[in-house]
Amino acid sequence: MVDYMEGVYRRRVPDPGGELHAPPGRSAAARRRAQADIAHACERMSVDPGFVRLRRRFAIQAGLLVAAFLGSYMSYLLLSAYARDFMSIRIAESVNVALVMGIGQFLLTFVLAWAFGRFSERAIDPLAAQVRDRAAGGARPHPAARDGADGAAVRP
Amino acid sequence: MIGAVTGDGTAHLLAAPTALDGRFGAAHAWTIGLCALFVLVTLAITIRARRTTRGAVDYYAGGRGFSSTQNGLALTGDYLSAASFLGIAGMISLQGYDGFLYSIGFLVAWLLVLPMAQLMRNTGRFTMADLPAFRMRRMRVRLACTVSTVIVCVFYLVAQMVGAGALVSVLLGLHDGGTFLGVDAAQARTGAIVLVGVLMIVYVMYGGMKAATWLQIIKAVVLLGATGLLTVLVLAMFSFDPRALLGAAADASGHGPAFLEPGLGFGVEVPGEPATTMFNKLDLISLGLALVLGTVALPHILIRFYTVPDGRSARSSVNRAILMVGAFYLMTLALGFGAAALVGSERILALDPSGNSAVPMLAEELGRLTAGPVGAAVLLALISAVALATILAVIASLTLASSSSIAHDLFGHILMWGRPRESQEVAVARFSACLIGAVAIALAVQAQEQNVAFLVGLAFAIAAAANLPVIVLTMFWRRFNTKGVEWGIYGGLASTLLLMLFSPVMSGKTDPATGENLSVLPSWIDIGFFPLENPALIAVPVGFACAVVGSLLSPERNSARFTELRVRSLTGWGADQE
Repeated sequence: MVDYMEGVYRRRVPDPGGELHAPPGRSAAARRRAQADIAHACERMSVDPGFVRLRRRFAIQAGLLVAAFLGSYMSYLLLSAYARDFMSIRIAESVNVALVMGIGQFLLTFVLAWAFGRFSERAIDPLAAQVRDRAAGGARPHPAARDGADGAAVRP
Repeated sequence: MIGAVTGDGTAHLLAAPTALDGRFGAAHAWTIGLCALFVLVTLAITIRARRTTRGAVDYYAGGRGFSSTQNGLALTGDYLSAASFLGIAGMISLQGYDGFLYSIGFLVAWLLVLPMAQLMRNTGRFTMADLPAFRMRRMRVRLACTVSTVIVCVFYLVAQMVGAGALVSVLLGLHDGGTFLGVDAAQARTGAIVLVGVLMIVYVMYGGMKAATWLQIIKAVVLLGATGLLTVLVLAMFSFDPRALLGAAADASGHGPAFLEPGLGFGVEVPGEPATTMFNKLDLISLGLALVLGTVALPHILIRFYTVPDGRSARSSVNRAILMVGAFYLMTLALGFGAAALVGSERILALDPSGNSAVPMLAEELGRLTAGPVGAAVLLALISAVALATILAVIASLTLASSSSIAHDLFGHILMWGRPRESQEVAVARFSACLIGAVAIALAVQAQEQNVAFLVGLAFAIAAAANLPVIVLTMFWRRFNTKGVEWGIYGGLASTLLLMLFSPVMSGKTDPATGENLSVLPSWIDIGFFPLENPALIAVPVGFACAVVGSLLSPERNSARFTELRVRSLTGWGADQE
């Protein structure tokens, strides 16, 4: 679950500086074994149907977001550069099309950001938690953390 | 250009008879008092942060314990430099709609950060180099990332520190060659640069990320509060009717309705010269591109995502930052048009061609209109103190980003082969903060007479052309490899710097009316053959192309590591235990 992920940080987990993150005093062979375990687990997770769905959802969602904002921003920029007669049409008193479209960019940004957050919470986060849970049932990603953070980490 | 507070930009601020005429006045007392209060509070926080900073996670990433609201505020603080506060409002006050066009680019850029934040939080640990190094465990990858991080940060730092010097000399009323308590303008500027430089070194050396984050949070709250206050005062002057404000601004600007239409500042149409017109318009597009693509790859923004517990909070902190940054830029709209309407473009322009003085002048005018001379002094002092706090906070973050990269990547992974002792690495980080700070102080003192506004734009362009291809391809392209990283970073960096060197910014730009030299280099050097002032339009595609070609030229591939990265970046699995 998601609180399972959060519980760990609030505790202080010792953070080794080295690249392999292995606690001191372990042999190179043990480190290699731990590394191979992780790689193996990831290989398994990457073909998990849940993960494939997660990947696709994220790609669609992020793609839509980026396409929408880049499209609207670039067309706004191009209109400002090349369609000045259109942009200077007055709508009400001193308010013209250019100004309304500018404010529109702000509103669109707010709406897109809100929508992305909302969809992520609904569709992405639960799926990611589910995939993680299933993986946690098999192999733990980091054997070293088992001693320190077990109480908070393992919550079936 | 972007960087608002510049060498001689603010130098002409407030030449009109005001509180700031070189004698010690009420405004000075208030300014110094407010600045001292800010410095004392932040130093207290630094001492507190030092007590709770024990290991590398604390120093580099603030213990990863900040909430998404705190981090959202800190991101806002990181992003809103003096260029945003003084520069954009000044631009709106002089160029009307085109200044507004500029601020939209700064905001929209965050929508690219939004999907990336989660992935970057889950993959990296402390620096930008951690992202590609997750897949490619080569020292050359780390070295390339360190080079681009340090270059981007130092350019940005120098621009901000020169701005601080200019601001202080103006606040003391030294712009016209006068003296203040026996100090002349050059000495005051040097003193200010050294002072903010030393403060920034203290914050970063002692407090690390915890101090830097709290500094940003306080600054963001103060900045949003002060801007909000001015906005309400401006709108109250026009009985809360935006149309009246716009109308008055257009009338007072001397441009009439054209003030509210595109074309005064960017993409200027020169009659009879179609080539110049075309390049002006391409420049506008190029600028927009640099802003939108550069933000996500700015090193000091990127390392903020490591201060939150997980990918989900990284994402929601970006959401909050978007809300606050957006609100801020909407308020600068009111400030800019308010300055145009109440102070008048003519007065702003007469004192300072770049418009950086618009907000302080507006504050003084509003203070006078609401509470007489005392109000003018207090409000002016408040805005000056906020501007200094803004600069101080931004440079602290930049120093932290570059010193982290030097300590974690260059020392930890290259010199020590990835096996440094944690205490050693943090000690090196503190030392390199000192070093970067000293280099930045020296450069800024040297450059204080120059117009360095283009450096901020250059930092965004380098981030977009050198860092962005590497981040994006690391996350999404299985075939990407070490050579691709190297080619991408060095190719993007070189193309941006070269295009800048041959652009009108460096040489060959003269004022059509007066014939005055507007470039950095002296007028007898003319090496400008690239017509655009913003290189992003060419440099970003070049950066991406270099990264792709470099990857394809090398047979290296590691599919297993990419799978691991993808699993981890999307699910966060394994990211928690580090």
